[in-house]
Amino acid sequence: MDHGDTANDVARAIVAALGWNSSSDDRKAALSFLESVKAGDVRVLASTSFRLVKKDWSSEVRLHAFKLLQHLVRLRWDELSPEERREFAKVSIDLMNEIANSSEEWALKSQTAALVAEIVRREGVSLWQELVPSLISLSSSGPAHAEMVCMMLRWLPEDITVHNEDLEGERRRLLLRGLTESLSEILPLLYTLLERHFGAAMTEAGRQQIDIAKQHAATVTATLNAINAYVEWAPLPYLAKYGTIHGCGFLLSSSDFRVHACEFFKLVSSRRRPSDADSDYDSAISSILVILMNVSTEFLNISESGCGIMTDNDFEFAECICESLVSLGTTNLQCITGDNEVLSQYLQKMMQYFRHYKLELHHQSLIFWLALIRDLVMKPKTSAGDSSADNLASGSGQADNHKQKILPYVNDEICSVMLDVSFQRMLKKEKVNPGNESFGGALELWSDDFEGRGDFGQYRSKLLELIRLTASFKPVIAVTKVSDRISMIINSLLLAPLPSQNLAMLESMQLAVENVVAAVFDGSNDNLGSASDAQLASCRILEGLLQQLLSLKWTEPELIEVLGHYFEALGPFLKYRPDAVGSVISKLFELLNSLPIVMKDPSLSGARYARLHICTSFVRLAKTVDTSLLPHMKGIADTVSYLKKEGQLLRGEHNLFGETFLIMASAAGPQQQQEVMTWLLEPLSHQWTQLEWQNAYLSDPAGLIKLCGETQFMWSLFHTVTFFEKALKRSGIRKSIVNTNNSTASSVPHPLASHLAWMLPPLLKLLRAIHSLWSPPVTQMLPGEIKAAMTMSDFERTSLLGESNPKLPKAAITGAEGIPVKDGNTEPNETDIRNWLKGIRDSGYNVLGLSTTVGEPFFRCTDVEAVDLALMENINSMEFRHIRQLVHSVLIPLVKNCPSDLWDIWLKRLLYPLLVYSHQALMCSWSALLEEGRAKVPDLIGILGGPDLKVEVMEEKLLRVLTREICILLSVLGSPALNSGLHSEQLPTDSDVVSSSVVGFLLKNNDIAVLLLHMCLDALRWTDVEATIKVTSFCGTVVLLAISTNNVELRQFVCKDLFSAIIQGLALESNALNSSSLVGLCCEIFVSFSKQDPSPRQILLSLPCIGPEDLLAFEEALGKTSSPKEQKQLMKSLLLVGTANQLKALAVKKSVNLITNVVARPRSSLPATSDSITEDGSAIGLAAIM
Amino acid sequence: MALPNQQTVDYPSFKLVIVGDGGIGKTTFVKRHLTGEFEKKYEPTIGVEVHPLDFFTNCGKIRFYCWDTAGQEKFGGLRDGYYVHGQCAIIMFDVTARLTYKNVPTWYRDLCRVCENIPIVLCGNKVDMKNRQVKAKQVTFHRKKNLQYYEISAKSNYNYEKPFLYLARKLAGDANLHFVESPALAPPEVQIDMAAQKEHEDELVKALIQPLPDDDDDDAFD
Repeated sequence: MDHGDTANDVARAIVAALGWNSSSDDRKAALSFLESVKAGDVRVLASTSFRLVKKDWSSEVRLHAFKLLQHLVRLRWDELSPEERREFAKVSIDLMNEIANSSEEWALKSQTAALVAEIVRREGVSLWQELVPSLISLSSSGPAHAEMVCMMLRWLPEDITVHNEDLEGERRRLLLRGLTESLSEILPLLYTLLERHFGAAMTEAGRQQIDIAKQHAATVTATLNAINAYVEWAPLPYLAKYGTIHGCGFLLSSSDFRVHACEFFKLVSSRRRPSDADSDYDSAISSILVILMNVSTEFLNISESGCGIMTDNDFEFAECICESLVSLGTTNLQCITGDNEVLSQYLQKMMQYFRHYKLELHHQSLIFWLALIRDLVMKPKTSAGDSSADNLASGSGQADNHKQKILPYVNDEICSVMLDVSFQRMLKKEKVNPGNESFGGALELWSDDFEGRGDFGQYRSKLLELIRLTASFKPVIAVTKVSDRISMIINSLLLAPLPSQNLAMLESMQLAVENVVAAVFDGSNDNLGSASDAQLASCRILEGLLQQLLSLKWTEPELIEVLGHYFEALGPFLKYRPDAVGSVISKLFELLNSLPIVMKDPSLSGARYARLHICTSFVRLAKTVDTSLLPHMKGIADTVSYLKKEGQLLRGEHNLFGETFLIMASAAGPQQQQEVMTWLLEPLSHQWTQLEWQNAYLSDPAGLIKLCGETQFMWSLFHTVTFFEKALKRSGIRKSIVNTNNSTASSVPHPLASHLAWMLPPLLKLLRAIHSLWSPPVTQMLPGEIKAAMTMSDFERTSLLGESNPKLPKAAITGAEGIPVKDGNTEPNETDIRNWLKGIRDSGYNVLGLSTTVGEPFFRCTDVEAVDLALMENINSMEFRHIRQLVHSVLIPLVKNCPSDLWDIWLKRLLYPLLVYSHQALMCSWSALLEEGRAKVPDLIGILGGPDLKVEVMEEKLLRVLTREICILLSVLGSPALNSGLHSEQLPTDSDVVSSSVVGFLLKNNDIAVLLLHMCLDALRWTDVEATIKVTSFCGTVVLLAISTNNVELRQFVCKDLFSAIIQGLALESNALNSSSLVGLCCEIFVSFSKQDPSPRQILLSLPCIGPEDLLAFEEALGKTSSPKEQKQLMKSLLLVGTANQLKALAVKKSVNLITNVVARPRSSLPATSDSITEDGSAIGLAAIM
Repeated sequence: MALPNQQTVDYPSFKLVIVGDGGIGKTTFVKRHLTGEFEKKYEPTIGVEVHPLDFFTNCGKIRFYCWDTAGQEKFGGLRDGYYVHGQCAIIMFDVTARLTYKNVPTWYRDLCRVCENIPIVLCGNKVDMKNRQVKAKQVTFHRKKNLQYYEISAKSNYNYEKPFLYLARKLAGDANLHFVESPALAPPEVQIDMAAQKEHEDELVKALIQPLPDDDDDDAFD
């Protein structure tokens, strides 16, 4: 066929394939024709494509022809003879000239350059060296020629240093070396082009020759782009020596090119300092620093003086400069600290940026200051006993040397400014009321409208960290600053007609003061028993602030709330000033009493929250003030009793005080703790243990329905459970104590051990009754109100859909329940019932879970039958989120704490029903999700009619969360702590295994073993990496068990089912993060069992691309190394090769074929898949999944 | 051939190219605007589909001709042809599939070698999914290349307008440009979402009580 005809056909096909209105069939036909040309005769491909790049064709056709040529070079180059290749290269370089001559559109120039770059990349260094002189000469033919040369000089290094996945190591190294060797020609050329065309562009623009000027400008841009392709890897001294730094620095003063030129500085500044940096390197960095500082001076002078107009563009540029300076400060601080003058100027500039009104500039430099102060405050790493000041400089060497140099410059003034600015910026724009902008200074405050900076919370926590670090560095300044600012705000509030309008200001400072006080009184000198000078000075200042706060006569709930926060924030200071504690307590009670007790009046909910808040202030103070609160314990108790008697304290509030006592008591020693506990709990136990209510409300569903009508009583039950939960939490033996002194921990009985016996039986009945509500026969007969209350709340739905604080539901409940209905007549409503059900479930589960930590008294004295009935009787009707919670809060702690001699009683009984149901439910849901795209979970059935996207999202989340929790349970079962028998040095006997390995024990029980092992196999198929990570750790224990025992069945399971399931798991991309452990297990199984069991070998042989000889080679290599790491690597390679790269979890390197459109290797080139039949003729089946 | 021969409009219009691996939701994303429907089934795009999307800004209406290109190589080979005369672009990847993020540099390279210096947005799609593989802080490509990055969810409509708004601002050279009404036929869930979100935030503020300093809370189970 005539090549001209082919060209026409190809051109038509390109048009048809690209045409947006081509029919689908035409398009497919065109595509397949183009593919056939691509794969057809290489010479026809070349000549046709060279024809089609000519000017006669449309840009789309020409562009595609260039792509075909690039394809040929990359994939079919070897099919041409050396002469043909030379000719091909020559024609391509001529094309560069041609295209440049006829001022083509940018895309075609770029693709021509890319073609030449591709040829160089393919042909290697020799062609490159030959080519450089002709490129240099081509670049002097005119601006368009120079532009194309620059493009080529840009694409080549990019394709060698960045897009190099298709180059094997040696070729990559050779190319890079060749390129590096020619830097001495490339960099001077780029400098010359920069100088020449910038000058020409200016001159032509001056002469109003706009078109020519534009072409020169395009060349300058192309040159800068090319330079940026070298800046990240070319040796820095080269960039100085050949003028690159100087040239780019010069362009920073040109408004047309500065943003582009600044890109160079951004990249160069973020380069890591090499370990062998010499003086040339340092001087290059210095020159960069000088340039950036000069530009900064200019900008800051204009910007701060206010004369001259700043545009968005100016700020964008300044941002880039500031970012570069920040990078230099992090990567090359050594070069800056070397010269005092430079250091001082540098810090000054960074401070100017920090206090700049533009948020973005401030934000950039915040990152610098944070890193710097963090570093300065960090304790030098000197050895103990040798921490004299003299030693600072010599002790930890260079790093501390720098610190010593920087320290004097971070002076009081800098710290003051830093704090001032940080305080002002703690407020976001949306919170500022009109008329109060002055408090933010003239600063551009954070606004939710800003793009791309994360959220305010993250930003604020950076500010807070800076405040905290500065406070520990300069305590007195920080305390002075913070209390001055608070005083100022309070004074302004006192003058304002409606103080609550300016609340945001006051609120914004609360976290600041909390951080300052915590940093200054950080408890580091508690052991010395005395305060430092700085702390004493700080105390005097804070004393003033405290007096001011105490004297406030605020009555609005919102203000009272904030005031409560301030008192809490002062806690660490009060610890040092115990004499001030009394006045704070009186003030808090005064505030509490000033707020009305309110019930369900929405307009007064502010007061309700404020009251609750003041009560939590006591809890917090008890934590921070510690023993200094003890002398006031009796006083507080009397006041609380009095308030309660007078009906001036709600039940929820009373509980918070109870919690305060628990904390105080735990600081007072075991004896007093026991007494307080009894004092607090005895009144509760009287009501709780009475049989009347249990019989009336808990014996059948009708009773529970009745209970839901007794609002006051049902909430009082809740308060009892939740207080007991608090008591368990607050009295738990601290882990630190357990660790340091094991014998003490076990000899002192848990303060709540004696209370479990009265708490648990009614609680179990209550939970059983609540669980029964979900069983279909009961649900049917429930009144609508209760049914509605059992569905998922809006809050739960929003938090499933969006990102929300998982702690919140609890808090929301605490807020909601505090509504005792005094007269008992108010109709309970759906929300009330819902909150109550949730509250009982949350606290009830926690009480059970925490009780298991009490240990023996729980396991020996609690009736397992009652527990089983309460938790498992209706497990089949439970919703996913509830099962998850049950597993998390009860079963996991139970498994962890159960003594091994009671495994038989407790674990078998509780785990079996749980595993039966959850395995079946998860399997159903996962197969629905993977096959139909929708996880069906019971929680949402019937809530929202019809298909709803949100429901789908929620369903999937619920499924994943439950899956993970069950897998966490498995990993706990498999944890070393519960399987110590498998980890001992000697091989365990069978009886050892049953008593010292919970997995060994469970697998002895056939029913449970089958469930557990099936769960493993299935979980490896589910696309949730967090779940598979957990299940993998359990599998590890199973494998270990198989290795250390003679259980034939287990060994067969491991060798066949598990081994194969793991490989299938590796085919899921979701398992990428877990791939290393999975491969490790494969390897362990193969190494341990391949000699005694044929399955692992058979399974490997069933992989699509593996032959017996590959396996032999693998085994041989495996035999030569004993390093598990190397063995794992071998296994990984075998699996990758054996599946033709189809194990997505292992495919870390992208396959270039996937997306670069110059490449399309035919699938037939993959090895044939013939060997997937085993000796006995049955397919093991992995070939099917690949 | 550069612009589809649809009715030309008398307000500014721009060619927007959407690229990224196959199966990451490009088509779904584009179609979300037109119909408000979430595309449930996956049918690989063949070649290209062009959708005109209108937005209403404070400076008047603008149109993006969205060139939704095939992400699969088997239909590709011609991709760069679609980029010619592109004025802005969206590079998309799927946060639940790491490979699609790893391929972003290649998409960027191919695009940059055809379109000179156009505004580009990088979008991580499917952030609604729980099995996220690419965490937000692992997404760094845009920083180096000065691209704007958005996390989006075609499924739940999260941040749907953000990429378009960014591109519109860049193309108009007006950082204060904003959309004045929701795009035509936007699904109603958007409003509900916002209302729910607002309510949720209010609840957050109201509920006040910060977590108490109960440091034994989670330890109990460890």
